[in-house]
Amino acid sequence: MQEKITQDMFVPVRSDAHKQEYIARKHHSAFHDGWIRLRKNKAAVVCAVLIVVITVMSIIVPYTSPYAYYETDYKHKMNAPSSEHIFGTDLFGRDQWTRVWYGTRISLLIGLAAALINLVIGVFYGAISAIAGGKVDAVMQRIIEVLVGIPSLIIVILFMMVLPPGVGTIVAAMAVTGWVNMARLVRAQILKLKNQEFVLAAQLLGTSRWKTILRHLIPNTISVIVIQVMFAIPSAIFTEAFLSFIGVGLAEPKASLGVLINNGYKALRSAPFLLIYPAIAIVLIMVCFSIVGDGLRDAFDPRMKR
Amino acid sequence: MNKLLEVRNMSVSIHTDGGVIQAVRGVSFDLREGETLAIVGESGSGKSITNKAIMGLLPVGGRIDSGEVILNGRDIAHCTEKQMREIRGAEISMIFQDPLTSLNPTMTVGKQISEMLLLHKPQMTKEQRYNRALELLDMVGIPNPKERCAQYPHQFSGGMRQRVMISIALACEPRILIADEPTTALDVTIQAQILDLMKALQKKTNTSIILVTHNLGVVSSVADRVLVMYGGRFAETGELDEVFYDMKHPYTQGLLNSIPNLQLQDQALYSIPGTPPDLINPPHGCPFAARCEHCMRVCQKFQPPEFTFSETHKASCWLYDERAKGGAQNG
Amino acid sequence: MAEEILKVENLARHFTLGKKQVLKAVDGVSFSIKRGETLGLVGESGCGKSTLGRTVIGLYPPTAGKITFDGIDVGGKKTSAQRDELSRRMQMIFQDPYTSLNPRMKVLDIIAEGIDNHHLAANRAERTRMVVELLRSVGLDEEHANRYPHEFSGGQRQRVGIARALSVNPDFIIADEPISALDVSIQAQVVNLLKSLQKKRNLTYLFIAHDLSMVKYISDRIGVMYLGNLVELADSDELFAHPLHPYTQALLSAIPLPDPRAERGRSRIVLEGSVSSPINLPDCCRFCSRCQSKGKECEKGIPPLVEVRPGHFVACCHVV
Repeated sequence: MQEKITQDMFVPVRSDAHKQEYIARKHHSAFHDGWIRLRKNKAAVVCAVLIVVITVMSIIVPYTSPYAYYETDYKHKMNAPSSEHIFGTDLFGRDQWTRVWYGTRISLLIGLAAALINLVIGVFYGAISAIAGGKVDAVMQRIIEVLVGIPSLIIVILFMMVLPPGVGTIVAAMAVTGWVNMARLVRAQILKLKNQEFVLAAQLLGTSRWKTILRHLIPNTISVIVIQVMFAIPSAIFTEAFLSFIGVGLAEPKASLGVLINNGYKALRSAPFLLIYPAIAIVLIMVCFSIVGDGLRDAFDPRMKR
Repeated sequence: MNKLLEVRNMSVSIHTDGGVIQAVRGVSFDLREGETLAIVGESGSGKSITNKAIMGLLPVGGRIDSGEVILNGRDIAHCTEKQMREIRGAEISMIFQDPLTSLNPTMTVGKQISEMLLLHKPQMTKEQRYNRALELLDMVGIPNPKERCAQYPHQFSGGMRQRVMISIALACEPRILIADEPTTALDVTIQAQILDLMKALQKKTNTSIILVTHNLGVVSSVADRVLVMYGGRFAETGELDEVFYDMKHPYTQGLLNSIPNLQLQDQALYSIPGTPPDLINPPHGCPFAARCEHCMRVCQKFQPPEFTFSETHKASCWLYDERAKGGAQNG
Repeated sequence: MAEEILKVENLARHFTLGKKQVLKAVDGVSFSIKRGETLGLVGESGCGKSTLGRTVIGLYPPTAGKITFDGIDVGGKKTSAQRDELSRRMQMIFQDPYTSLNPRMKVLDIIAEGIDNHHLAANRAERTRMVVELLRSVGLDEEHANRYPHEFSGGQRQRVGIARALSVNPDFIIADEPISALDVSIQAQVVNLLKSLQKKRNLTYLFIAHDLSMVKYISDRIGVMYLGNLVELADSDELFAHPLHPYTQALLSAIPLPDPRAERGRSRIVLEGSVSSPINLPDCCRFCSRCQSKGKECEKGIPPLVEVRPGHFVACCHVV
């Protein structure tokens, strides 16, 4: 297998300047590195797949199911799971299989919408606060501190009582205080970046302020933002479920997972299956988002980079 | 002279997400009583990892693949963590580049010294430990030890912190002190103080020192012997003067020539072209081949064997093979 | 005699840390640099050399004093044309090759940033051609243009940083400890590159470092700083042959030489203690707490920088 060492090998070879600067590693971006790390994290991959499956199912099932989520059938009230009704039927004879997936869809929608609104407000607020600095920053930070000081649940419940119930109201109520964490994270990250040498270099090259923000500051904040969004989604879903559970959430016949759990809880003794399936759905969604969020943080956090 | 520590053919790899880094590949050396051995190399040469492997302090994913580390006739390369803990501090101590991160910020300096004593000499009373701490601080040249004993690391300057680190490392009178870039983070005037201190302490306690550094000035002012590493492999070893005045390996030659001489005026500065090898895919032959100006075909394909020039002076380079026919001229 | 390209007069840069706490990072520094020369600036950490560099280039506004670059007052109010001219003619090379390049941008775009800002390229093809040319001039290649910074070694990154600074064709470059974070064999590469670029492009350097031997090799003149003050300024050979300030003497004697025989026969001036905190400094010679030849006159105030020999300036009460 090995070549023999022969006399003719002891001849000097011309060194090649090109080879001396050659980079042996395969060419890829920093994002690609993170992606490789993420793929190695089995739990995160499984959970990401589960999230996709759950999302697709929640879109498809309510359309393809023979029953509508609001369709009552008083002849078959509180039926146990059977081949006809996979998850059984509820108090009004509505098909629980359809309702669980429909509820999942609403819950996911609320989670996503709330997280996106947090994202937009939080990123702008945090970025402006960090970039403006000085007095503007001080005032903006005091506002955040006041908002943190008020228990957010009280604000949300007040909102729900004043405005008509519905998905929009819930999202709006959660958006009032939800963006604070995002704003703080983005501000911290940009403050850190602002003094890095590459930002100073851009300043010296005459890069305008807006271009610096768009080309240097925001791209280096994206991983932090994405990770925060992954944690904001389950937290919004949970808040909505809690609101529905205490009775200030969505109105019938609309259903979210929280509403379903609330209904199932009332019939816990006679029909435990009404509680179990939506509960499993919400636990699965929360755990999956958290694990994927953790995986993303491990894979993309700059501190992990060598 | 007595061999205190022998490292035989040690290979260390570190498993990371990006691949397996072959940090050290078949390095051997020994350490004698009362001497200072300097391990020289650039970042990625494996000099730090070699010493972390000896101490059993490899980073996550790192492991010793083969070879032995013989301390007092016993192989410690495959000791359990518990056994290593008994060796660390009592027989081999280590000081690091950054004294601030290696000291506990929430504990007074005196407490940190007595913790070390408590660990290895449980028979000492509290008072004995306190007195020993004062004695140690005084020994490393910290004024007002009584007052300083009750202070926290942040109240010390960089040089003073390194002195504290040295006093902790020497608390249990280890026979070997591994100093990993001990003066790199310090200013030149403070560096001179610490080097003087290390020399004085060595004379007093007869401790053997392994000094890991990239600064050849530091090497020439404190070392007795030198080991040059490149790309995870051994390149050259010898007595201080042999390596500095009769260097054999082209890397050593290049390294010494790339430091401007303060005495000479306006000589052109030599520089080694290129970049150190990537240790995830290390080259087959000599790791220095791609940057070497005497490179031959054999260098690119086969790892050179060790050639011996004197009892102490060895280098690993094909230029000294008979077949290379006098191609080997000094720098 | 060549004209002065940069003139710094009585420059001060103070940072207010809190009530009554003032950090005088740079305090009353004056010097000038001629076109085509290299002025080295050395001193220990915390002596204000980096702050001085950043103030000179306009990253920090000066607290007092005046910086004049080719007739333009850097610290004062500038027209937008003047600002444009400054950012084209004065550039900086940074210390840390790991944080000085944006990790999310390709090397091509990093180097092209200045070209884009000043509209130096007519079209995309010319922009790429200019970047490749810059890469070649720092010893890199076309194939490196599409890679991201994290794929490069420290020395290669530093060269990318140099190419970026050169992209706008500046005539004055401040190199802020450009070699401190690099390995010995790579330091020589970078210094040689800077020297050859200086010859080819007629550049003027302010070279900030703490490694005296490299500074001597690259500089025509050297200034020594201690706690915000310039304590000695002379031609580099003159400074090394006849250091006059006690601090410079101690600094030079503290450098360990890579020459065992010389090291054995050498006696050193070992300074006691360490640099005092630059916060709320007393109004006396900054070095007097560590000075071996300290006397009563040292407490009378900060000694001025006096020319003791032609071209050799010292700020010390004892050297006249």
